[in-house]
Amino acid sequence: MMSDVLNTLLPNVSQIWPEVWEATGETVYMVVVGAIIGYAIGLVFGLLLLLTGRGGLLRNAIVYNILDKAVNILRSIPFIILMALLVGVTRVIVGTSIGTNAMIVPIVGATIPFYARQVENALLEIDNGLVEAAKASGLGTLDIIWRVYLREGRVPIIRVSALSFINVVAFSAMAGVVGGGGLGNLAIIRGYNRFQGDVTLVATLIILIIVFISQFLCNWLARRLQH
Amino acid sequence: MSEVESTTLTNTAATSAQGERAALMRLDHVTVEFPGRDGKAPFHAVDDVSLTISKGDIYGIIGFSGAGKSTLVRTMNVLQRVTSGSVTFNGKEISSLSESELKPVRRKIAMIFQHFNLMPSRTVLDNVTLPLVHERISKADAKAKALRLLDLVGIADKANVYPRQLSGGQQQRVAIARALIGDPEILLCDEATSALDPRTTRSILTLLKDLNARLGLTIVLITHQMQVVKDICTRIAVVDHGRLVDDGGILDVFAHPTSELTREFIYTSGNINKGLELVRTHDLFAAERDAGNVYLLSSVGQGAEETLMADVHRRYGVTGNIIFGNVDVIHDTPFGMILVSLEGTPDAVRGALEYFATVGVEATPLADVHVNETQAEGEDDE
Repeated sequence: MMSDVLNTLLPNVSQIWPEVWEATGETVYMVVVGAIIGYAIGLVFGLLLLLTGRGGLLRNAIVYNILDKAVNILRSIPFIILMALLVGVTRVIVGTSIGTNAMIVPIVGATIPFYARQVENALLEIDNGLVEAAKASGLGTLDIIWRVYLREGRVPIIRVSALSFINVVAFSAMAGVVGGGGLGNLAIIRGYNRFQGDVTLVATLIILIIVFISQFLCNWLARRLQH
Repeated sequence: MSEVESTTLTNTAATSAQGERAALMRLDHVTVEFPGRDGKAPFHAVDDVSLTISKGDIYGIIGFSGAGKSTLVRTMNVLQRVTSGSVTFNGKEISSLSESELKPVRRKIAMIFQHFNLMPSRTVLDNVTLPLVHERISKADAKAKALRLLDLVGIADKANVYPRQLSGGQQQRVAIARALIGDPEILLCDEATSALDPRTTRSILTLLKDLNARLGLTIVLITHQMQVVKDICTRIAVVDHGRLVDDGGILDVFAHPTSELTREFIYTSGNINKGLELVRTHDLFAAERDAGNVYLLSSVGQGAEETLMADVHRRYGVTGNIIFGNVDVIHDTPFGMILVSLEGTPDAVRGALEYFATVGVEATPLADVHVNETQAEGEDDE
């Protein structure tokens, strides 16, 4: 009964459910691994931007300017071109330039500059008085990074992580088309190329569900940590 | 700690010259220069300031906003580097230490701020113990010490709440407890009461005075409110455009201010500006005003204006009419300011003025009395 309705509504999708679930798994894998690696490295660069920038604890105009320009330039490159640019790097790191693992390299590459800037801006919001108070209490730079910036900035960092996650999902969808698999790939090769509109629709819905879950988790965490 | 003590030895000659009260912090010709923007000349936030803070002092540094007092106090824990000059703490030069060398020093030079600067994500208890992260102290001991300090500052019941749930006065008490956790020798207060209402201000000042008396804590208080200085300070320094224009024991400075700015602060804090405005503008005092015989008399430790007026009448035949008067008590000593018109022959008035000088009463002609209007407004805001 139920399957009859689905067969009628989603004539093409109902033929390839295993493929849909596999693509979903690939997408989840790419975005989760890509986000974790990209966020970790992006966080470090975001902190470096913050610390070497004007008014930062490790003020250094040369380092800041290099990082600042690098972030701006990398963020200006369209993702699809970045993938092409990074193909050599991908081969060196992963050993191949196709498949989900290979696609994680450009996803990380695109996430780092975006996320670094987001982190920098989020942490700039922290009252400089807190840093001053910590310094006056005899805390060192590492203490201040750990106990003031990352601790007091954890809610804004979670919020920018949620925001950046949407970008990561978008990168993964594009990466799929070039040979990474996932829902983006499915929507294009089936929905677009073979005019199977229902496949596109289901792929879209699953992507939206992934995004909604990520936003919900981040909001929940942010609310719990907010005082 | 031991290295601080050993270096103190080299400085014993200097401290013993100070008398029984040892110098705790000394600024020698401290200048802080900020580079001028767009090719403008560099800006001197602090300009050749030398001062000595002795153990047990409550040292008030007063000035208008922008006078450089916040920059000045930040040189004392080297949050602000000096361009030239030196800062000496406990006989040890600290202004040229590296950031890592400063860490243990800063634990002995605590600081509180205008906006309290508590960590919003931490409970009161965790805020107070934060400076102890690298101390060799167990969690339980740290907690016990923090609770003892929270009790001392009067908010033991708030240990587990977050700063945002507290009033300004309560937050400042937490900040004071946090400042005290490292057993500091000196507490720097940067406009610590400026964000508080007058009643809370008084309660925080009472607490600071109490800590000074009970713990022997030396306190440096930066403020733009003369009332704060009058309430608790033993010594005062007046800062104007980065320069020290007056300093000394509070009663000395009140009795003999040497700068125009200091006078302004004193007149304004004594509410004498209202009397001045009255004399200068009201028709009632037109005759006295035009005769030019209105004087502002200020005296420390007298408080008997009627007797003074009777004296000049008996001795010189000068009639003194009190137009406006104000008596403050600073350190249990009355400090009076009165506006009088002196009526008599020019010689008699001159004689009366000379007599005032001999009894330690400062007399200033009305024309020479200036009150800064912005300061007057500032005081009204409170």
